[in-house]
Amino acid sequence: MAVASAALSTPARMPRPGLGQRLRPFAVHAALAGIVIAGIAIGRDVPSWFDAHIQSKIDQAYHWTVINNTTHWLFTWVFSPISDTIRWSTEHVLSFLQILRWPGVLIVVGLLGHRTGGRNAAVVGVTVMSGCGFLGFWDHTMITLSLMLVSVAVALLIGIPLGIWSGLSLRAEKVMRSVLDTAQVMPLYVYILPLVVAFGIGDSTAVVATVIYAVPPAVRITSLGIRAVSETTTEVGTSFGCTGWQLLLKVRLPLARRPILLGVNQVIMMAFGIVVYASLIGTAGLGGDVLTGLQKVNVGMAFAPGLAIVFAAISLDRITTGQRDERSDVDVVPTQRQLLLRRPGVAVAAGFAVVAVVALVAKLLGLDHFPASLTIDVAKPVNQAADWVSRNFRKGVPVVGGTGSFSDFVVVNLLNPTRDVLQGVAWWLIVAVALAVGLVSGGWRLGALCAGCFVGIAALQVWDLAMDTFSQVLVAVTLSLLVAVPIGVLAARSDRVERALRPLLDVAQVMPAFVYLVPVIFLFNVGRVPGVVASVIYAIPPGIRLTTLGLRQVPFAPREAAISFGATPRQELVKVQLPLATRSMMLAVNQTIIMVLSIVVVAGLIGAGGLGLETIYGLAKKEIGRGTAAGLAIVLLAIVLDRVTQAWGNRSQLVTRSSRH
Amino acid sequence: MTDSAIEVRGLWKVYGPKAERLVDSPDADLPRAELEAKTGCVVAMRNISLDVAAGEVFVVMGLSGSGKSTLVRCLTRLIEPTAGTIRIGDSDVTGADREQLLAIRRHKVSMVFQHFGLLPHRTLIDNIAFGLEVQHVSKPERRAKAEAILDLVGLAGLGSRKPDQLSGGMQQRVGLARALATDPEILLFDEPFSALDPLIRRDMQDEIIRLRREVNKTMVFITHDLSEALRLGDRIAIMRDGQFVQVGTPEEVVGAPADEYVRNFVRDVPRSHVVAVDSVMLPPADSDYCGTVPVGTKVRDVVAEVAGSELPVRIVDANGVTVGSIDRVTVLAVIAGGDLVSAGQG
Amino acid sequence: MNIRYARSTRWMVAAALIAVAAGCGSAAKSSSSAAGAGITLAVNPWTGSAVNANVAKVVLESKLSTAVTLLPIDENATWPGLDAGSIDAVLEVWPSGHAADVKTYIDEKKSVVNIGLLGPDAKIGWYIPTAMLKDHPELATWEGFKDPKNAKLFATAESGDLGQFLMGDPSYVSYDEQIIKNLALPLKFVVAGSEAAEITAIKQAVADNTPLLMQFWQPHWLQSKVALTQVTLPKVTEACLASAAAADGGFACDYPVDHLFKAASAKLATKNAAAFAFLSKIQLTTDQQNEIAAMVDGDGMTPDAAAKKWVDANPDVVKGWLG
Repeated sequence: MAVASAALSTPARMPRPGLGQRLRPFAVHAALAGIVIAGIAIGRDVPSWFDAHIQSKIDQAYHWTVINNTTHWLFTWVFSPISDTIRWSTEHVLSFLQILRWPGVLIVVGLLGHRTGGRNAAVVGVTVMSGCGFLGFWDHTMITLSLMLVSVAVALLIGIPLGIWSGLSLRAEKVMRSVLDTAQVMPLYVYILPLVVAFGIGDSTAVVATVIYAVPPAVRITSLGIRAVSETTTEVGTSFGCTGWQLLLKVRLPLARRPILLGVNQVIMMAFGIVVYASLIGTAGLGGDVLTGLQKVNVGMAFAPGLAIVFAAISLDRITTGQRDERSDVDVVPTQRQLLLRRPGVAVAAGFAVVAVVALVAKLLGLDHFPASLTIDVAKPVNQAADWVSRNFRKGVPVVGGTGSFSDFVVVNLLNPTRDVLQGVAWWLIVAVALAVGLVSGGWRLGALCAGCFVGIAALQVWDLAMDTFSQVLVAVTLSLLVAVPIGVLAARSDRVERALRPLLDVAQVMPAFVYLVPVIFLFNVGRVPGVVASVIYAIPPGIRLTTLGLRQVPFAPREAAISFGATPRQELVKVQLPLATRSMMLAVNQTIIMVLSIVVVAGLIGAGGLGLETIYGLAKKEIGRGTAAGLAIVLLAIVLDRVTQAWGNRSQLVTRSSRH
Repeated sequence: MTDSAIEVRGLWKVYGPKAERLVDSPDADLPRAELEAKTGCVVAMRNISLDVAAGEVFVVMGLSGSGKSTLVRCLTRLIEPTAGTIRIGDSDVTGADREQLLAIRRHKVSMVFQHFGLLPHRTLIDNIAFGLEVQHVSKPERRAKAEAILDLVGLAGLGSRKPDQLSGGMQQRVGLARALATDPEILLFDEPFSALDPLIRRDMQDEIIRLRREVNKTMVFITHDLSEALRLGDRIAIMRDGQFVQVGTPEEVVGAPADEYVRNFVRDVPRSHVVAVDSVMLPPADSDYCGTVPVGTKVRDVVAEVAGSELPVRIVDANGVTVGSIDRVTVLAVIAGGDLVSAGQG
Repeated sequence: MNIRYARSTRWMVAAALIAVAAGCGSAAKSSSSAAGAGITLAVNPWTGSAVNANVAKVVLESKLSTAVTLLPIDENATWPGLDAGSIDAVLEVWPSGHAADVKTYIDEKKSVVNIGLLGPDAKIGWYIPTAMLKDHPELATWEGFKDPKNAKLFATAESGDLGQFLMGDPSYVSYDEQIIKNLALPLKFVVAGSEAAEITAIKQAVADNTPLLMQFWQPHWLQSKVALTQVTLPKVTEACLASAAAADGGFACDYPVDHLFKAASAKLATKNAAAFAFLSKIQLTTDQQNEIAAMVDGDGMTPDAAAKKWVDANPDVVKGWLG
């Protein structure tokens, strides 16, 4: 789920009194009693007959596709044409980038940046993009970039219209929500092989997989943006006789521009976040370079292309979502030349001309490749740094001991007890607890949903694995919040801290986890802890961002009141800011959970076991059914945790609202 | 039927499940909380009927929650009424299909909004031209029209600015210009000046009075500010709990409040500013007069005469025929308060 | 003024078009006057696979005028590629990890064909750091692990009181749980999740001189960098292999030897018969493959350069593949 996804979502509707409400306590008691009675009858463990037979059905379906993918119309008339179109697009985008050569690409980046975000965006975009060249990965960056450009374009072409639809129709939003959750949390390992069977190896499957992963934030944020357009403004449109289309094109979309740009940003970040997976299935580029480094267990070798991925993502983000300050340039009287360039046709033509000339000059000068003399070797220093850290932090650190003993501590005192409780109690008891938690948090509907999700996990026959993963998620979320909230508070109090953090958070979000897996394992030993640590690294950026955002959004008036009563900064924080930022803080919790769950599979790659490892079998052993069952269980866990924390958030919003009036 | 510009009959707006059942039912008269507990419904507006003559300024005044904003929105079905009929000119609004409704909104009626409702991403010119753009008027034509209107509201030369570069008062001039640009027969104002500070508000009211002289449009004006209502309105409707409590000219409302609610409202209004001499006059006097004023003169304007003399003032009609007189006691009674006014009248 | 705008615009567009056209001309790849249709070889993410593919590429391009594209790809995703014909061949398949693929694509669908053995044999087994044998020579065979005291040497926070047995990449075949159970060893099976994770654990254990017992295999580049010793497991028997085939959970012996083989798309035989014949014939001995791999892993050459150097130095071997 994207950052800020629920920031503006509609609050829970006030329940209407009626017969249902009066009957509810009875229904609740009856349901709980029913679960307990049925549970005692069934027993502590999930019985083997309670099986949705997902695994065997999926396996059969997969086998059918494998055998029929050359003959059946679904493949020859649907998947193949899609696949061919995508491949055609990526190939042509790539050859266009190659025709431009590196100076041409940098000029395009600069011009686009200048157009969308002014000089600042242009400078940042060009500098960061040329960083890919200095790292020595220019050519591979272009391959990855071609893949990403097509993926992002397709994701936006699908995501924005769907987002508009879901912004206009509550029903559409409801239906889409579960689909989006599934798309975002279902590990790619589960469906990558079926996609390969349908779309073939290479770019087309990579694009499809990336789109599946990157569409949800586009839909969510567009929908929020459309919903956030104030009713008073749309009323103006209606009052002047706008048709539905006119209202959308002339009022809603222009006013939702900022959120939609945020959606573009998230799509880019998400898409680049899975570049490495794309290389598993036969796409060249930076992802493959990261995997090669990982294969050789060479941190520096994986880090350099990983950094290039981060650079390309940031550059693309800055030049597409740059915000020009529109007020500033109004009072300046434009010169004749500026006026000329403001005519849209002229500006575009001039841009084309500049790019073409640069590309031509680059060709004549033979600047086919980024000059090798300019490249900087980061692998060696990174390896040295990683070695130093590994040598010095693993053990023998005074007082705390070291990462090794920290790891043992977390396993013995946090992970094992949590897992033992979750796996030890009867499964139906957990279903009953889920029902109760849901009820308390958001009413009987939520209670039923939570209980239903856990029953579903049982029916997938992955109960113990799911409880193992659940325990890790709980620990990872707790640790993430312990790290993220204080940092977020710090960033909210100091602009300097926030500015310094921003690039670091971007890096943490986009840097492929594969890059830091090796040092993490080296420091924390193979097992569940490196998984937890990797999750924490991945999950803290949204946690920090939302905490900071929430605190900064607290209006000054109540803080001023507190200060006037002599509150210390600490009291101001604890008694005013934090309570008023509760909703944003709950959103931070929510996002942290979703992030942790969406990286469960990576944790599985470094010894965390549980559902993550199980989904890897989908690719590793072609046991698609087994992987799917585990993937669905992750989705169900995600839905429970997401809905419950969102309900908390909505409730705290109601409290804040009523206290403000 | 009548030749009124707007004609409303039996208009209801009820929020809640099965809203239409409440229309004209005895339940509708229950107190708000009781009604909501019983049916889950809230009545925003009940059984409103009104006629606005062409060229008239009709002010609807009430406190927040009285239903006045609902009423003005129902006129073009921005809010769908639960029951009742609305006619604007020769168009049946409540019976209109989608196309007809769009035509009414595009050509017949324009609205000025409380918080201006300007589109922040457009320049002033494009904001003013918005209504024309929606009608598919060509770009040069609508720009030219918008420029002309910009002059009319006193913002000439600022057309390429964005709304957030203007003060509130200037923004609302743009809102006014936007409403005028489509040259509608009827202008609706939804508390247009409540967000402005008092001096600017007064300027804007003057602007309306001036516009009215120049363009002579029918206007429905919503406000919670009594002095604004008295200043602008040909007729005023006082609204409370979704109903009209009283409809009348300013002096009727001030001079003869229909009930305690209205009386409380108008208590602090200097009556002499509102009440015309002919509405409190006595029969022609036997004695001499100290002066002569025409019908329609406000009471405050004869204060100087009666203060300097024991004699009453003569009131004449348009033809110079004496229709009555007003003396110092009556003037004092008007200035002093409501009860004496009715006594004086009686 | 307007005319001037228009004229300058036209100029710029013209310049752009000319430049782009010029760029296009040069960027178009020089198509080789190849005799055979170009083919694609899969490169799976380990050095051996890169070495074989590059050697084949050098020979195919220089002797058979067949353009070769090397495609880096996950080994599991290779099979749908072979099936569709978007990959023409893969030169190093480890049978233990691909029993299901062999069954589906080679036996059942017949879209992929086995084109013979590559040459080197591979062997999965149980390994410990050689340094451990100094203090615990009894750990050279599986019986040494029967002693709970010995097993406990391998205990970690994850395995609790039992010794930890570490499995690496889940895509490899693993009978380890069965072996542990059937031989009644006080060990706990833990999956590292990936080869990289396992190698990191090995490096860490060697660096710290801590005990580690894991599934590992050779050939593997790590074998030349750290000293590992294979733990002797009970001899492979017919009964044991039958049990593995029946998947009855009764496996209790050493892993059988893997004979690495080559696979090609069924379409390759008609698409480029010469290349098909060559790929069926190409073979490397274990020593040859290690020699080239050492140039890559040890000397830091690119697989491409190493393959060229080796091909140039071994014309007789290459002639044998072509003859």
